[in-house]
Amino acid sequence: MPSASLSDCTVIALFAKPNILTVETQELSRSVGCLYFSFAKEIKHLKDLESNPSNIVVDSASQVPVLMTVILEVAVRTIHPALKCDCFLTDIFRMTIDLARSLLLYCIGPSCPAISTTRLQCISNIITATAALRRLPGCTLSIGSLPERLFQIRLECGLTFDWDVIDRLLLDVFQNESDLPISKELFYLAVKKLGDNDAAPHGMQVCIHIRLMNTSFLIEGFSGAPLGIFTPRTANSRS
Amino acid sequence: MNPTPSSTQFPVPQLGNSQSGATPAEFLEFLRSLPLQYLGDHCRRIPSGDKPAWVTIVNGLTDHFLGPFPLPGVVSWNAMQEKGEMIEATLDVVQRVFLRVDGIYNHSLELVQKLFARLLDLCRVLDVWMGTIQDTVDSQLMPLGLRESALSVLVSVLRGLGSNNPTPDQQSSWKSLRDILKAGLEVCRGNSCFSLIYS
Repeated sequence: MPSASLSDCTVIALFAKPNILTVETQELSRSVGCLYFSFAKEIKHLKDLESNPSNIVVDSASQVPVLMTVILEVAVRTIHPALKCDCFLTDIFRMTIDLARSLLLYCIGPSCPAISTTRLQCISNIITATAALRRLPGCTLSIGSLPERLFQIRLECGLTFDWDVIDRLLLDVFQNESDLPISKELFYLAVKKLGDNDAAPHGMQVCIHIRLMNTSFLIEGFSGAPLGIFTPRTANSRS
Repeated sequence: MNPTPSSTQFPVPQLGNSQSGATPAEFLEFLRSLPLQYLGDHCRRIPSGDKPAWVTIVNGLTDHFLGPFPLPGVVSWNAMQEKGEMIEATLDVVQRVFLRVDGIYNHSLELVQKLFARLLDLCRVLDVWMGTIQDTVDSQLMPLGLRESALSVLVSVLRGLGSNNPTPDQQSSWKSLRDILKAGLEVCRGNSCFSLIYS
């Protein structure tokens, strides 16, 4: 992270996850937070950043999550399906997965400066973009649990989102990816929170769909089996 | 746009040039004619000897049409239709050049880096546009379609870079691809890849 070289700038905020440095400088006439991206190693003036077409200058901090989501989408679609140089990109793969997880939490969390519609759009793009990675062997724990975590946050979080958008997204994900891991604790929480909630029709549908996926753990749960992660079953496989 | 080298086989109209007098509509027509005449699936591959001309064209198109796109609030989306059509035609040309010109990736790292930055930025701005448009006309070019085109072209160029066989005197393609993706991912982690030096 640059420190001494940014002595002429005032650090406005350094978000926890992911770390985004926003600066305000007297050199620029505006005083809004900016995110700068450049391939150059050394830049003499901030205005050089704006004049070079290989650089990106984001005027408003509220657009930072949007740019990061686009970067995530590009990274995912570039590394998957696997290239022939795939073995040299393992660190990129890992960084991409880390970004997906931290970006989802960032977009949901209170430090995200974007308005709710933008955040919902970013969340949808993150979940959709990582769908291909969720099917990869070995990615179940790292990225396969993202929809489950989103659903858990949706149930527990009190943010003023239009949750119906998220509910519809999750319903779509759970219907298309029926082998995603869902814990029984989350199911119980869903029943408790959404079971009788007429105001969240799509949330109720998610709840019902998860119930169809996981009927086995209901039986095991009621018979006193220890709690844990169940192997999900689809409605089709049960019949 | 930069002047094209003498090896170029076709005249390139210049926007804003009083001598050639090319209007935006004529230039758009020229852009749309390039894939048909030189870059179409039915055309033979372009030999590496003609690469400099195509690199110059892609460079110029990137500077002129993939530059900063206005944000909502500055202009209406209706007013951006012509620019959007120019961008769409430019994206088609860029994608086809990287698919059909032999050796296009060799010694073209700066061009790929520039495309990476410009197309990322374009996608960002179009994402912002997507949340603002209420009334649409069926025939209108929409931000979602344009964004998807820009993203597809960028991914196509980057994957092409990763699959390229470089000449012995240059860095491995996987290293170039890795550096580009790493630069993008690092900035998301707050690890700026550059330092500011004040004179």
